[in-house]
Amino acid sequence: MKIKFYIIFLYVFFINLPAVAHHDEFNIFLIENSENIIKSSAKTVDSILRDIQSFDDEIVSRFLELWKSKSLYYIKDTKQVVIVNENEESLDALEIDGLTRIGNYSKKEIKKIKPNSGVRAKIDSILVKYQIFNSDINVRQKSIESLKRNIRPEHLEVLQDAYINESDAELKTVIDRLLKFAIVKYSDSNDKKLEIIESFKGDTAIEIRASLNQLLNSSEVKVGISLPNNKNIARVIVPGFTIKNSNGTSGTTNFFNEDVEISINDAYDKLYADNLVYKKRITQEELKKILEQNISGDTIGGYSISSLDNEQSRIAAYNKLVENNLAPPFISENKINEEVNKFIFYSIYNETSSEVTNAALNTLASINFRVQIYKYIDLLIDGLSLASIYFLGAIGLAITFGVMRVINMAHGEFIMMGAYTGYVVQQFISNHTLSLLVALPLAFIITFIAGVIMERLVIRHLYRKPLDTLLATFGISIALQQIAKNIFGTQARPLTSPSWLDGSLSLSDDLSISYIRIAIFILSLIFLGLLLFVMNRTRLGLETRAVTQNPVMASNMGINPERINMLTFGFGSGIAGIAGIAIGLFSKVTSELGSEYIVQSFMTVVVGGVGNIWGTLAGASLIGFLQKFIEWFNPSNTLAAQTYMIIFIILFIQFRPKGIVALKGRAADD
Amino acid sequence: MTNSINDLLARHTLIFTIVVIIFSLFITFFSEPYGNGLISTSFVKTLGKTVCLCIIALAMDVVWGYCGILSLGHFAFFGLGGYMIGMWLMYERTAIIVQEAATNELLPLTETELSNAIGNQIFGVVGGYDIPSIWMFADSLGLQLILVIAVPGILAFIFGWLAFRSRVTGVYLSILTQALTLALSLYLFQNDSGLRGNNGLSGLQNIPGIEYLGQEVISIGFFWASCVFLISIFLLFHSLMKSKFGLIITSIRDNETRVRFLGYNVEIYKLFIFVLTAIISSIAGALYYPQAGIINPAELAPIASIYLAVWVAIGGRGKLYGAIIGAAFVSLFSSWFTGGQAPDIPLGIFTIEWVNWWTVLLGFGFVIITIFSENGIIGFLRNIFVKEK
Amino acid sequence: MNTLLKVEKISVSFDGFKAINSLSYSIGKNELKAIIGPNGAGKTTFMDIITGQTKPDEGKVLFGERSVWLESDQKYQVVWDENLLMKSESQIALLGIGRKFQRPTVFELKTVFENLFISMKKNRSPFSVLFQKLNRDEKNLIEKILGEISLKNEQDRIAGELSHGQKQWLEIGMLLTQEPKLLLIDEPAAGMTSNERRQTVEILKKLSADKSVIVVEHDMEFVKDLECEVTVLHEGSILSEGSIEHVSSNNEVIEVYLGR
Repeated sequence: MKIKFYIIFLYVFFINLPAVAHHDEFNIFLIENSENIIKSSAKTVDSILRDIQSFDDEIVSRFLELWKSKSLYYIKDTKQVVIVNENEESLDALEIDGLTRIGNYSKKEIKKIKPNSGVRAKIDSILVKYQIFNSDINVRQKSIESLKRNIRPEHLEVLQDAYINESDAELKTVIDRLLKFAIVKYSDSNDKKLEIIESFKGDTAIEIRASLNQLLNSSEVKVGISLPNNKNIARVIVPGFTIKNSNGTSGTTNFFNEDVEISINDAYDKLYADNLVYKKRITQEELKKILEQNISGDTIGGYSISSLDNEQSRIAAYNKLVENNLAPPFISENKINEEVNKFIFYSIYNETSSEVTNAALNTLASINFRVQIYKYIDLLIDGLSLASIYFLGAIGLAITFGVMRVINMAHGEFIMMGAYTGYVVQQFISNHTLSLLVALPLAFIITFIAGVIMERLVIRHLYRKPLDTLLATFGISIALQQIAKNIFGTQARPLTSPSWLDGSLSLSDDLSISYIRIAIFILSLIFLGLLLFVMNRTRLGLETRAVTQNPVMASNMGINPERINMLTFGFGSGIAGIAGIAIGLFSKVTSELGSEYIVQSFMTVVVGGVGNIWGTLAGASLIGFLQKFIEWFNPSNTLAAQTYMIIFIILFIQFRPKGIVALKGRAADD
Repeated sequence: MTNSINDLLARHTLIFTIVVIIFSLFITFFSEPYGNGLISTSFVKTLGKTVCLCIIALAMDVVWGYCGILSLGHFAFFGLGGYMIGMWLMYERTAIIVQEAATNELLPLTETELSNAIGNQIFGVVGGYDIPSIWMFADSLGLQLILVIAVPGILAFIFGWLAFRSRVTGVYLSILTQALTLALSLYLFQNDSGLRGNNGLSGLQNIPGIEYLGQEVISIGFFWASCVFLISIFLLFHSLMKSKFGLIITSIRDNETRVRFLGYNVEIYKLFIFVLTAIISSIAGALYYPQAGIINPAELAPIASIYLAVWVAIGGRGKLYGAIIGAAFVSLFSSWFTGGQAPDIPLGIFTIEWVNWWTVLLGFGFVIITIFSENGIIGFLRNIFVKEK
Repeated sequence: MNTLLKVEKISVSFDGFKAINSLSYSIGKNELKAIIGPNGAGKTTFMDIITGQTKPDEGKVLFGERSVWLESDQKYQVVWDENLLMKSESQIALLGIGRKFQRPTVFELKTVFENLFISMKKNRSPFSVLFQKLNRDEKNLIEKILGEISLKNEQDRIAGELSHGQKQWLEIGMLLTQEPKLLLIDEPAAGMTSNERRQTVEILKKLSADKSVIVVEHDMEFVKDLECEVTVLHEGSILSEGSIEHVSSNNEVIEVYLGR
C-alpha cells in the first residue's frame, strides 16, 4: 500500500516522462547488468554507475531514485528488473518507465531489490548530480533539501558547481549557505573555513549555530600526566569541580547547580580503566557485599556485626579482611584524591586546527550575544502580553472597585461567563471570525445584565460594608462556578480563534510573536482608549467621577448615585465579559477560568492604585513584566516565579500602601 | 447590671463545657472500641475533624468578628500546622519501617544508608532521596511540635508586622492575606519545595509508636484531644474577650482611629491577635490532619480560607458559639450533601442532584444570610426570640 | 510664660493644593484658645498634623517647653521635651494630647461606662491590659467625670443610643479620663441645642483651669462666649489674631469669613 503511494508520487514528480527510443536501449542495459543490480555490492556498483551515465538524464535519475529508495523488484525466473503495482494477492510487474505492463505475478515470484547502505551512498552521490542540475527547479529544490539532511564530503564539488550554475536567485542563496556548511564541515583548507566562519558573524540562524557547535565537538574525558602539546585542547577538566560548556570549554558550577562533568570517584575509575593506577576503587556497595560474604558467626574480621553501623568501623573490619587476604585492598578517599590530583584531565576538539576552533568560538560568542539580545526582546514581549492579559482581567475590577469601593469576588466568574458565551456562540456559528464578532458584543451584554442584576439584588444592600460585600460576592462566585460546572461539565471547552489569528510573526529563529498575543495587546489598547474616552469624555464618565469623589455633593447636584452605581457595575462586568473571550482564546474555557485570574487581578488593581485607569495599567505592567522576569531567572519553575512575585507585591504594598498611582489627601480617605 | 451580664456569660461557658463533655462521652459510649459500635470509626474521625474546624472557626471569629481583620489566610496556618506535625509522623513512621526492613539485612545500617532509605521512601515520588534541610527536626516530636507553634507564629508575625505597620486595612488587608495564602500554596505545589509537591504528606493516620492500638482507639483519642482543646480555646477566648483587652479589641474593630488617639498602639494589639489566632489555627491543623490522614497543598488554597470566613459568617460572627455552630453546621452539611447521602429531588424534567447543586445552594444561601442577617444563624434566632418576647 | 505646644512654619500640600502654608502657632499651659475659619481653611489638617495623622512637608511641631539651667553658660536654656513629628498618633496621645473629632466619635456599641474605662489613663501595652481591673479610686474618678459631663444617669446605656450632644460630652469625658495636658476640640457645638451649647461653654472653661485647650469652630457666636484669644485661619495661614472684638473688626476677616 505504501509502495503504491510512493509510485504514484513518483509519477507526479516526473511529470514529463522520458522518450521511448532511449528506453529500449536502457532495458537492454538493465538485462545485461541485472545480476549486479540485484546483488549489488560496493565493488560492483561502481562500473554500473559509470556506464549508466551514458543514458538519458531523466531515465537514469528516475532509475537511481527507485533503486536507492528500495522500490525496485525483480522477477525470480527471468531476473528482469521491474517495478510493481501491489494488488490484493498478486503483483503487477511493470517496466521501469511504469507504463509497459509485463504481467501479473504472485508474491512469491517477485522479490525486492535491497541495496546495502554502502551501495545506496554511491547511488546517491551520482543521483545528486542528476537532480541538482535538473532543468526542473522543483527537482533541484528537492535535492538540495535532501542534501541538507545528509551532506557528505563528496558533495562539496557538486555543490560548488551547482552554485555556479544555479539560475534561481532564491535557490542560489540556499545552495550558498549549504555550501558554506559543507566547507566548514569537510573542507581541507583552513583558510576557506576561517573565511566562512568569519562571515557567519551576526547571523543568528539556528542551523549556523548548529554548524559551529558541531565544529566544536570535543572528545570524551582524556587523562594524562601532562597536557599533550600537539593537540587542539578544548578544556582542562578538574574532577568534581568543572562543568562542560556547550562550546566545548569548561566552566565552573553556578547558581543553577549544573552537574560536574566528572566526579572524583569516576575520575579515579577512569584512571583505573586506562591502567594509570593499579588498585581498583572499592565502592561502598562492594565493601558491604564483601563484608557480608565474610560473615563468620556474629563477627566479620573480628568485629561484631552489630558494631558495623557506621562507615569507619566497616572500613576497619574490611581492612582486617584485607590483612587476611580475603579482600582486595581498600582505597581511602584521601588516596583517591591524591591519585586523581597527580593526573591532568582534559578533552580535545575533534577539529585539529586551533585556529579554526578559536574562530568558531569567537563567532559563536558574537552570535550568542545577539541571541541574548533577542531573548531580552522576547522577554519584553512576553511581559507585555502577560501585562495585557492582566490589564484585561483587572480593568473591569478597577472600575467597580475604584468607583464603588466594592470588592467583587465574582468578577472572575464574569470573565468565565464571557468565555462560555464565546464557546456557545461558536456552537451555532461555525465561521470563527463571524462568531467572534457576534460573541464580543453578546458577552458584553450578558455580563452587563448579570452585573446589573447582582448590583440590584445584592450589592446595593451592602454599601458601606465592604467586607460583607467581599464575602457575599464570594458566595455568588462559588454558586456561579458550580452552575457552570453543572451545565458545561468539568472538561475544558475550546474557544477556537479564527485562522487568521493562528501562526506567528517571525522575526528570527529565536524571536517570533504569535498573532494572538498581538491581538490581545491591541485589544487591551482599545480597552484603554475606550475607557479613557468613556471616563473623560462622556456624561456617564463625568457623573461617575463625581460620585467617586463626592457622593453627597453629586447627589445634591441631581446625579442619581444609585443609577450611576448600577451602570458602573454593569459596565465593569461587561468589560469582564469581553476580557473573558480574549482570555478564552488562548487558554481553555473551564469553570475555574475566572478564579485563576482573580487574585492576580486584585493584585493588579491594588498595586496600581485604586480608582485610576492609568494605575491599573501601571499595576498590570509591573506584575506582568515582573512575573516574566522572575520566570526568566528560573525558567523551569513557573510556580516559584508566581510565589516570589506575590511576596514582592506584599512587600511593595508596605512601601506604597495606596499603589503606584496614588490619590493623595482627603479624597483618598475612605 | 454589669454583674448580671457577667453571670450570664459565665453560665454560657459552663453550659458549653458541659455540652461538649456530654457529647464526647455520648460518642465514646457508642463508638467501636468503648461501646456498642453504633458510631463507626470513620464517623468518629469526621466528628473529630469537625471539632478541629470549630477551633479554627473560633480563631477566625476572634480575628474577624472581634478584631475586624478579615483574614483570608488563616486556613494556610491550619495547613502549616498539619504539615509540621505531618513531617514528624511521616518521617518517624518511615524510619520504623526502614529499620524493620533492615533486620533482614546482614549488616546493620549506617546513618547514611538509613537516611538515604528514608529519603528514598519519602521523596521517591518527587524524584529524590536527599532529605531536605527543612526536615532536620523531623525525627524529634518535641521539636516538631515547637515548629507547629513557631512556623505559623513567625510567619504571621512578619506578615502582620509589615501589613499593620503600613496601615493596610479593610479589603486591602483581606486581599493581601489572600495573596499570602496563594503564594504559600503555590510554593508547596512545587516538587522542590521539600514537602513532596502536590503529593503532600500521607499516611498521617498511622501514629508511630502507638499503631498497635488500632485506628478505632486512636480516633477516639484524637476526638477527645480535639474536644479538650476546643473547650480550652473557648474558655481562653471567652475570658480574653471579657477582659479590658477584649474591650479594646472590639473597639479597634469599631473605630480604629479613636483607639489610636486614646494612646493605644493599635498595631501591637492587632498583631497580638493575628499571631495568637494563627498559632491556635496551626494547633487545630496539627490535630486535624492526623485524623484526615493526608495533607496536600490544595488544602491551603485561598478558597479554603474564604470558606472559613463563610462558616463564621453563617454561624454568626462576634459570638464565639456562633462560630462553632457555623463551622459544625456547614461542614457537616457539606459532607452530607456532597457525600451523596442527601436524597435527590426529582422535579419532573429535572432532578436536583445535591452532589452538584449543594455548592449553588450554599453560595446563594450565604448571600441571603449576609444581606438579611448580619449576625448569621445566631442573629436570626435571636431576632425571632426577641420578637416573641 | 511656659509654652506647651509650638508649631513653627509648617506647610503641607495635597496634590499641589496647599492646605497649610507656613503656619506658626503656639499655646501656653492652662490657656484656652480658639481657631476659627471658613470651610477649607485648613483647621482639620492643622489638627491632623499636631496629632500625627498627617506629616507636614516642612516645619516643626514641638511639645512641652522647659527651662534648664546650664552650668557652663550660667544661664537658662529653653529645651523642648518632644518633637511630635517623630511620633505616631498613639505616642502623641500618650504624651498628653487628646483630640475630639468633628463628628462625635465614641464606641457606639459599648456602654458609656465602658467608653470611659477604655480611655482611663493606665498602662496601654496589651500584656498589661490583659489583667487590668478597676480599683476604687479609678471608679470614683469615672463617677466624678460622669458628673462633670452630665451623664451620671446614663452610665450603663449603650453609647449609640445617646443624643448627639450627649455623645459630644461623652467624647470630652473620654478625653478627661485620659488626663491630657492639651485638648484639641473640633467643632464641639455642632448640632447642639442652645441649652447644650451653654453647658459646653461652661465645661470648656472649667477644663482650661488645669489644661490647655484649643477649640476649633466656625461658629462666631460660640467663640464669642468662650471669651478667649482667637486665631483666624484662611487658606492655610493666619489672617488675624487677638480678642474676638479685635478679630471681628478686621476688614479682611469680614471679607473672607463672612463672605461680604
